[in-house]
Amino acid sequence: MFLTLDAEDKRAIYQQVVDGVKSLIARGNLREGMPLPSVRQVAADLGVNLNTVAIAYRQLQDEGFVTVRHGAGAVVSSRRARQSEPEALLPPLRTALTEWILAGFSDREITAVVQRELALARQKGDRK
Amino acid sequence: MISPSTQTIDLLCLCLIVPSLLYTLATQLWNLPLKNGPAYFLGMEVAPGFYEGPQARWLSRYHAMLVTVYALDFAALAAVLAAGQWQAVPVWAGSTAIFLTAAMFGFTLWARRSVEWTSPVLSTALSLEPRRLGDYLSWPLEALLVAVVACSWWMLLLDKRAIPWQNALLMTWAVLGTLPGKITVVRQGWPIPADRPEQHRVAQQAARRYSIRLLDAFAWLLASILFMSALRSVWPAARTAGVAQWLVIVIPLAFSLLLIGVIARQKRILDMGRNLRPPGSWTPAFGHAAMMSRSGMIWFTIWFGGILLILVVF
Repeated sequence: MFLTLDAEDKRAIYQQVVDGVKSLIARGNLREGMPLPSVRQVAADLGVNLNTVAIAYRQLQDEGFVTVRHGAGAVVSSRRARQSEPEALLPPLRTALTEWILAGFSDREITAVVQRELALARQKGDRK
Repeated sequence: MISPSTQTIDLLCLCLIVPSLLYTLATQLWNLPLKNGPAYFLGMEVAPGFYEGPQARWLSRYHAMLVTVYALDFAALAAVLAAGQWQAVPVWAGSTAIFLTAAMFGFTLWARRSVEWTSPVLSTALSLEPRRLGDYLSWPLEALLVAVVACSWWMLLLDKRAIPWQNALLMTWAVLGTLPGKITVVRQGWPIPADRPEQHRVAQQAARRYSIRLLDAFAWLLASILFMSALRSVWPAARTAGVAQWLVIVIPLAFSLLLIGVIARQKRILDMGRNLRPPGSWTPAFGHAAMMSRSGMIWFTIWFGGILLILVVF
């Protein structure tokens, strides 16, 4: 199972790791209890600073997706985010929809994109 | 049974070491710069036509370096044999290994710094499969290796005669130093290109296991030499009785053959990575292309430096 980190992506490295892990959890590729590589291993494999990976793991832990035990590594702990109230999840969705509307897309086009992305987000298997 | 003299033992060692050195030169080292195909030089991606243009002199330099190292080694061996200094054969063998390793490592570093190198920047794949030490190392075998070294020292200290400090310390340092080396190999990772990540991951995994087997075989060979030389000092039969004396020789010889067998398996690893990007040959999305991780470099410097220090001090 792989995450792909893109050099041209505007998101920070830690954010790409967080989003990638969350995406794999959402699609069911990463299930509860599955071990994740240690912070040290991820940092070595990516050739980045330990702190960068530690920030990503801390965010995943804070959001309730991962449990990090000192010396035992990280484990996927849940498929549901701690903040799963619709009110808390709405602002980023509204922002994204606003961006699409301002970019000149019609409601029908936006709906089609949302449906396609939703299907992809739930699709099992590696997304290339 | 005829008891082998020290000269016979050294002659046997030479009969094993010299063909091994020549075999390694012919099958592994001579074409090492091209092991990943004509698009690479010593694992670095190079521009098309590298081997036809003026940069081709790097290949000539590499071959000249190998010829020089081998010529110096065999000249030293000829001098040792001409002077009848058979007892210097083990020192010659050790020095040859150290000299060759240092020359290869130094040349690779020099080439990476000097060759006009076109390292591409690629997207990186991150494998989410955890690597645990226990999946790569056998702790009971590691404990046995430490026990063999400890037992050897116990026998050496029991002996009333002078302890061969240089050899004993050198072997001990080299053997025990392989454990942190193996841990470093497991922990060390290289970025995987997003193109064909699974093949790259499998090839890296195989290379990692091969490096550990190589260090294992090397450590067991040295541990067996240390143990048998300690045994010779405390067990009189090992110095006089034919069977016992041959036993002391045959066990390290068996480990030498094991090491040669492991080295020969390198071809399989090379074949696996033939059409893949070699680790350290490209610049990942974040960071830079590196031949060795920082921890790997630190371990190698301390381990190799320690060996040189023991040779110089004693």
